Amino acid sequence: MAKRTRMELAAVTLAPASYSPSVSSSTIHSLDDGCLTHVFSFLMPIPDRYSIALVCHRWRYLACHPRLWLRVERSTKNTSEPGVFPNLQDAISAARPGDTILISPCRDHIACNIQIKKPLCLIGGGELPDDTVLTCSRGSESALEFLSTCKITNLTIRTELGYCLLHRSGRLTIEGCILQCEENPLDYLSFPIISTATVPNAFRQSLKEHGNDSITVAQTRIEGGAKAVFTSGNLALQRVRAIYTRSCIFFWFEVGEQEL
Amino acid sequence: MGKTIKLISGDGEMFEVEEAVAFQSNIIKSLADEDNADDCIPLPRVDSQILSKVLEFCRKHANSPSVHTKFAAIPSELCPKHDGSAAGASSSESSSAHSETCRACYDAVMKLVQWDLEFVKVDLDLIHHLLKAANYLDIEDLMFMAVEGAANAIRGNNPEEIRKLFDLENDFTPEEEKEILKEYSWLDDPFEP
Repeated sequence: MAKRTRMELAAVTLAPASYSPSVSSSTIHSLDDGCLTHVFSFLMPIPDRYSIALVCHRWRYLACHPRLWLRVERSTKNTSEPGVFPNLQDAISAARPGDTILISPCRDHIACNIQIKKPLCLIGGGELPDDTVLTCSRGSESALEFLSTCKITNLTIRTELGYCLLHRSGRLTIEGCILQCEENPLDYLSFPIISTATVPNAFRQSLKEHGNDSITVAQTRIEGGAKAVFTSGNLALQRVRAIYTRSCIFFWFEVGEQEL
Repeated sequence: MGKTIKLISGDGEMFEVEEAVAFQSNIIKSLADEDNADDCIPLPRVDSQILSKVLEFCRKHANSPSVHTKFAAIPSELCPKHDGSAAGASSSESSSAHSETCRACYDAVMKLVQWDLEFVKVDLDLIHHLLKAANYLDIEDLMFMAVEGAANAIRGNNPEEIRKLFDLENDFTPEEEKEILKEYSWLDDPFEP
């Protein structure tokens, strides 16, 4: 390759086109997508990334783009990339409140007693919830334990013994998931969902800024276990709907304050 | 004064700076490595006003530990242990580990970080020019700080305030805005830090 002259190197376009130092302040517009995404990655999800999603269409597209999500990938070749983690526990530890974690479609993710104490959204990366499976082995109490408002979607959570989801507090949203407990003689110890949350009395309720602790389930398959939901606090199962298909049942229901 | 490099801005002004200062830019470094070291290096894409700001930054960083860009997004508490961003989590380990054990280095880095944060407390127009210059000249630390400067301009503002700052139009219909807020309804308070 011929040696480049100094002039040629100096003329190489590295920056986006049409740099003009004398243009007015609207030049901030000409920041390209990559640059803006880089800026957005420096912002905390709550509240800033949500604020910028309401600025305009372009910013919303970039702010909600999976490039800003954390990723869980089992294969080791990607682990040097920032934002990519080999397991869910590591991703959750590194995540900031309001972050979204994309879990790669793979059937051997491990989830044992993972506590989630900050608002997070977990998304299965496959086309169907069946594609992304989190398994909780025998010996662990639950796959995921929620102490904060969270959302999970498009995932399969499977336990060998114990609970799929242990809900302590916060508003939990489960959408388009599959919760499976293995069939075994100790079924009475095994529940797809268990909630220990307690709705406070009327006085304390008025002090609470946000909605009460609750679970909202939509379009989710629940299989195995003694029963779908066990509540040891004073939340109640209500508004149950089910759609039966040939092979499975989809549920919609809520677990919340008993409505009179 | 050690070996110097001559740079010519886009509008024809000449800047003579020490090598250590100029070589913060990987582009200048590779251009200087070429044949004749006496000649000037032309930078047609950077005008004198921006170049002098860039060189001010480079002068400050010339003889400093170059660790601070390895810290992920600089948090307000300026604590190197605090990981403010998911990205870069792994790369911050070795440099912050050193800063934690070497007190002198830690203090120097913290001072530098403070200076940098002040340096980018400027209007968005200048930050934009610094971003482009840092990209063009390939100056990692300046790129990092310019991005931080832009992010800082956004932090804590509501959508309308951000639009004003960046001179953007709200192209959402009220229905679209409602849809977006509905998507966030799983969160308790997405706009409350």
